[in-house]
Amino acid sequence: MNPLAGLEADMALHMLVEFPLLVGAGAALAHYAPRRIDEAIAPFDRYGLAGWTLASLVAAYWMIPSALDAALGSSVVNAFKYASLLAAGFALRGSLRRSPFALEAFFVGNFTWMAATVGLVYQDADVQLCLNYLAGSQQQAGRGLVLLAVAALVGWFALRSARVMPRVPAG
Amino acid sequence: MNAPRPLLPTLAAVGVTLGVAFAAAAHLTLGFRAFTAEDARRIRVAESAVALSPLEVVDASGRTRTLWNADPAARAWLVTFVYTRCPSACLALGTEFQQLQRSVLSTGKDSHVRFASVSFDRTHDTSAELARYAERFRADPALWSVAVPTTDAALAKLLAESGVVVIRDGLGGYTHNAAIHVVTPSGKLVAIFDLERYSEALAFAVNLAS
Repeated sequence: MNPLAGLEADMALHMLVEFPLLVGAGAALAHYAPRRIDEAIAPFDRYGLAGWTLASLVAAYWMIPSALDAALGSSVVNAFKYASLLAAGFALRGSLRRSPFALEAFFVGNFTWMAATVGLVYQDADVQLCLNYLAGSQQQAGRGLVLLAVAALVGWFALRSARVMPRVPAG
Repeated sequence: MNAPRPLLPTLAAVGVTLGVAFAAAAHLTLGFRAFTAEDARRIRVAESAVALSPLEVVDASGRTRTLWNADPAARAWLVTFVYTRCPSACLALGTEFQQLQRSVLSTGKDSHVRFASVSFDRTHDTSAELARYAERFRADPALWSVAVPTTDAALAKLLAESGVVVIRDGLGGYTHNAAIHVVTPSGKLVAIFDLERYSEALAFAVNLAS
């Protein structure tokens, strides 16, 4: 029995609650993981490039409508979904320690326009894009994705300006 | 002396990540041709026929028969999935089938094309309900079968094999990927047409049957 089935019954909850929860859980896992795991990853993740790439691609993949249907239709695909989103969160936690501001700006900006575009497509579509979700749920997911896109940009900027600003020489 | 190349492992990791993601996305979208499950289903069927199991149904007259070879004269079936209480899409479907039936009848000779409206609402759609639906659209029983699978298992198998997903619409009815399916008497699903393309579906079936 899938404990997250309740979240997956609705498209907006699936994408906007379950996905961030899984990414967050992955990040929390990385936060409490032994230090040597991150030390082993670090040489493969200079400037956080690999982690940010993985997270971007995972996010893009799970915005494809047929990916959502595939996850609902097969427990193997669903397990792959959990694993990939957890891995994205896990990798991102380490990469955030290594990535320079410009690289983060690129990936966050990339995510923002992608999520916003997909959100607008979901809202504009005059057909049901997912076999398992009603058009109303799709509209909600579309609006939520646009909000998530903006929130990600603003949230990241707020988080990072705190780190970057003190480096600006005073006076 | 070799200069250290500290970025190499990172670039390799990025390369592997990109490769895996590309392969996964290409697999899911059938080579970036279909971004919805419905498009993928139609492409898959068009590229290679999907075998449907023999299906035992009860029709509007209460008879039990086995599709898809129940009618020896049938050489192609146009199949749609319906529930008789359906207020919108299935009404359009019924009207379209009615038109197609009329055009088949108007030719005056047997085109060997048969119609089947298969209900997925086993709790509500009894023979009596099917008969009411058949009457509403003036279905000619010789050409057009309105039927419901005899067991839940048979229905589930049919939906799974044909890739039809039925969900509750929250208003007491259902929503599903409605389309016109072309099935041969040996139970091969060979094509799927949009509801609006019903004349093309008939032309395809007539061609298949001749």
